[in-house]
Amino acid sequence: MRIVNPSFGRQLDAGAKAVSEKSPTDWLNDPVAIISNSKPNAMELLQGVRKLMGEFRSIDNVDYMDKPSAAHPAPPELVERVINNYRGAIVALAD
Amino acid sequence: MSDPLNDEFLDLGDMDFDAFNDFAIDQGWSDGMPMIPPTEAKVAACVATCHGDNAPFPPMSPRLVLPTLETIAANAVMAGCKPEYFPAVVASVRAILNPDYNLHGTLATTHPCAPMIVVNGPARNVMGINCGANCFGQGWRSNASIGRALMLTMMNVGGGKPGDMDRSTQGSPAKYSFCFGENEEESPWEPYHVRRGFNAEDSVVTLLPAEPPHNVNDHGSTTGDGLLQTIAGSISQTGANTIYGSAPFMVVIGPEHAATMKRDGWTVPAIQEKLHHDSATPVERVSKENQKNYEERGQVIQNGRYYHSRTPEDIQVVVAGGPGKHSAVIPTFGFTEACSERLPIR
Repeated sequence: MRIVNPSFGRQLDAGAKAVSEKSPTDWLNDPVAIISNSKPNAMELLQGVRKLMGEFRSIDNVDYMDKPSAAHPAPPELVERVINNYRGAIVALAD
Repeated sequence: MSDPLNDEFLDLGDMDFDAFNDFAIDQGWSDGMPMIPPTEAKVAACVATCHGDNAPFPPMSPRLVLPTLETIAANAVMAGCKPEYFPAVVASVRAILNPDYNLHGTLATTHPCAPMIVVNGPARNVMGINCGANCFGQGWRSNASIGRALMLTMMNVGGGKPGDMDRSTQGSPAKYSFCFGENEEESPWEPYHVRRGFNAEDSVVTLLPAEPPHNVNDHGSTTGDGLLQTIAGSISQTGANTIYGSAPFMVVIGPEHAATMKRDGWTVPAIQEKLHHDSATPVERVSKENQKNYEERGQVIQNGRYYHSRTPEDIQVVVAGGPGKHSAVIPTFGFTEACSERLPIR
């Protein structure tokens, strides 16, 4: 029996490949984005995470940011900002 | 070496029906119920019904791959669609890929929304879509398989797998299939799609990310005013997403309730206007913690109430069902718009 693959989809041009070819993230020194999904209590959770990070690394380059709406995807500008300025991201799923 | 399971066609040897279903479950293709193998011949028969529909599909969240007519048809075959149902599936896929629908948000959310399909126009009769008694329920192959085909496409092409990229806390039975038609023949008003700017001869699907129907039982009210008071009270629940994300939602009026409203002079715009105001939830019914939460999200209190709709036109009024004194309220995810698509057939 020959079938059509129900999960087949044509791939978009993957920009992510260039990112993956960079050197691994140095979580003790590299700039890190802390991103809130804007759900209730997400920022409180992330503030705790940043404080804990401060016990073993500098947090001068660990920055908060958030989505404008919990119900919508992160806007492309935010994704671009994270890609261009940070080597790691911590995202809150705060439900 | 590439994974052969990423290929467009798969040779499964002499696999029989049961073995195919075991294989499909292993691949994560199944919604839990048995499926028809999507052989090339069955897929081709579906695709042939959309001959000339060559508009490319945008990427489907969250996997962000580009669907093809063939892969959508493979899911339609697995769902049990007859080929003549396929134009409704394709139009539904195009509707959820409209950015206003907010497909990514509806999958990433913990809310249990499912894509609700309302069918209008001649296709309802061509496809045998149930618009009357038990229209939300079992018993009609077209209703069941069209809605199921859309969900399978979202899972298998879009990657919205339950518990993975479909993050719903509890899900809902509507995630198996949620498709019905408007009972245009028993509606005292213009068909829904005509009110949305289409021609009566067009066949149209309209989609919203929705909860299952919430029943509105009203055997006692004998006036349009009384019936609308009951419906407004059913909308006005404190746990609705729309209480902090005002957006379109649906009110499905049973034909007997609709006839009473029409007798009393109610038009659709007048119904929308009344429900818009009367369904707003009084602040004192909402917990203090949620009042603070909604304030932080920018939800405005008007006249001491939280409005579930932004405008009267947000309230999508259709007529469906059979004999009996019941209507339904269908809450939505909020943060969305009703998205309509004309079927690629007359």
